[in-house]
Amino acid sequence: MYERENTLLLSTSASALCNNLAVNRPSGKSGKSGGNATNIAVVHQNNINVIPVTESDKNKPMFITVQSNSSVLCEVMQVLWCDLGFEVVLVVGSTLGLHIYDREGVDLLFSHPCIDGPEDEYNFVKGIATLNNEVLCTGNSSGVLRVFGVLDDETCLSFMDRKEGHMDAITDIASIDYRLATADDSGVICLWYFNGTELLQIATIETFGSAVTSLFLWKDWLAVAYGSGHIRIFDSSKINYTYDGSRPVTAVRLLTETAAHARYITAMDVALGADYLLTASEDSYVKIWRVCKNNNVTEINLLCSSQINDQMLVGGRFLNNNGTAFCVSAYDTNLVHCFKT
Amino acid sequence: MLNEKFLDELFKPQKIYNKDALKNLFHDLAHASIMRLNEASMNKLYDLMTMVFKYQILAAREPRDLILITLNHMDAMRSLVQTSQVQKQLDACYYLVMKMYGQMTDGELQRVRFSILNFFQDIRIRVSIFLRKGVQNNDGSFVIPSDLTISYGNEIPGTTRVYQADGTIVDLLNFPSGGSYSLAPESGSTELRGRRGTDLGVNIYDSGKPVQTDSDGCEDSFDVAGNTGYKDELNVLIAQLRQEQQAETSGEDPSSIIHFNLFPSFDRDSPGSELFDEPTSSSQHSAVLEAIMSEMSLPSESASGGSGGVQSDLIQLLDSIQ
Repeated sequence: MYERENTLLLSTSASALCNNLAVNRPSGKSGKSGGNATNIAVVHQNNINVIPVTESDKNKPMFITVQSNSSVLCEVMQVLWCDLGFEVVLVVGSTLGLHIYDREGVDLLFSHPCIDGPEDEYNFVKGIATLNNEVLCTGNSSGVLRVFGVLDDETCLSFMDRKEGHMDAITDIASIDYRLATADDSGVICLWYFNGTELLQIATIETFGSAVTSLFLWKDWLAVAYGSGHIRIFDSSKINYTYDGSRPVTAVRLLTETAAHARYITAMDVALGADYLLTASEDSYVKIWRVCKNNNVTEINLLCSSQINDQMLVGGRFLNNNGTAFCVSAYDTNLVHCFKT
Repeated sequence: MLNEKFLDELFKPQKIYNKDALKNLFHDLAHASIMRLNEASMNKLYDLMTMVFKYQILAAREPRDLILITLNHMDAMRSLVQTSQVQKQLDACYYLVMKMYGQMTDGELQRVRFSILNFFQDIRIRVSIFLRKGVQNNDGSFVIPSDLTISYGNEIPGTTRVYQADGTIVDLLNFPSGGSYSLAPESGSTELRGRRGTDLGVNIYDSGKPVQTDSDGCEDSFDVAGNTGYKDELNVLIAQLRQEQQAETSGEDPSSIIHFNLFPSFDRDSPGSELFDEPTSSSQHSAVLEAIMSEMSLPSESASGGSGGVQSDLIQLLDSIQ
């Protein structure tokens, strides 16, 4: 179904880091490019490789180095392009805190330490999501969430809320409209609703034993990738009601459970236009799944499975909203492999 | 190495060492024994050690394997040394390891694992024994086999369970998993003495035979035969190091099987190499460690400074500290 297309060359190799591949995939409605990726970003320790997807693109490769004034070492934990306000920005979570760059990664627009642990200990920001392009939510190593709002017509952000919900470090955050799902190192997932000023916790999904590495909210689904190699899809339709002051007791229902990979699932992505799910794993496989609903029962079917020989995959993303192309990055190599139907 | 003060210092939360400091530490450790290595041999020994370790961390089935790999190392030390004092120090070290890593969540251990992998990022030295065993590729990357063993308690890929509203399974879907995976028969034990359930972290020159790690076999395994066995392995290692050294000095074809590429990241004069510079915040900490190290190697230094012929071994050194 998918065939190996071209290989992109990074200037430095990819670090071992979950979801170590970000794509600048402008949403279909806003840009002319109609949801086709223009750039990808891969982390190498405290550096971010930003390269164009096609050679004909005018945009040049960029190399962003995240560092502080002192000689304290920095590790970049996550990179994500987000629609925020009226602009696309490059959001970076690192051991130095939260940094927001312009789309090209040239100018630093905003930064915040987001620290809750002792200053001399290992702290980092991980988990980045936007709510309706108006609000930015981030997690950190202390399990604390922070919400920042966009000031009118500016990319400058203002602090809005801080919430403690996790006992362990946040690994990923997913969002849809004003709903939010956050996951941590121990595998616990919290579901939240943002009422305009405050994050309200509405449900919790207990751990299955291993860490959650990525999660995604779309349609009525919450797809979760686990370190054990499992993909679990939960029903997220019940978490869409407003908060009335009492703590709801709705249990989030498990819809499907798939033993998908032989090792840690390091990356996951969703092609919203096709309900395709991408998972990349340390077992050297990248797998594409289709999620669908038949007679009110959700199913997940394997569409394609590709092996990149002897590569511990650490990142994978669709290159468009229809899921007809994707690319994967791997630890210790500077190659990004692209696939196309 | 198992000195109480040294271990206490080692287990304090601290920034990751820079590569130079780590190499110096192992240089001092190696020379605390009767072994004398010139710079080239030391470099090769260090490269061999780091690549084997990188492989162990990369090949781990799950993050918890980090603990089992560490315990395999310590079990090997335990079977090498009979002194009750050192055995006690090993016990103390075991409790420190379990206290620090035993309670960590899956994700936390994975971050530790990723940190180690990132420490060895871009170091791809070819190791002859790995190339021979088909574990490593010619470009220095490691092989990910298609017959991976799935950790105990986990599930072999290939099945989807579909649930209905009341939480019961309504359907099972199967798909090809891509590999021929098998399930580990038992969970690796993290007890003081137990079956670790993984070969990662055991002697790679131990020609394929499983290392005895069960409780009663541990101490008995150190007999005369075992003794010569270790001696043979050491001789093979030394011969290998010497051979490479000779080949290098006699100007033989540098593209022979074992090509050691010594830390390209060091030589590179790019801004990226600053990554490994020692952070000032931790320099104080490493100074403390160095002080303890120098304290430990004091007898050796005075000995070599005196006649040069007197060689003290690690056990004597450790005894002298007590």
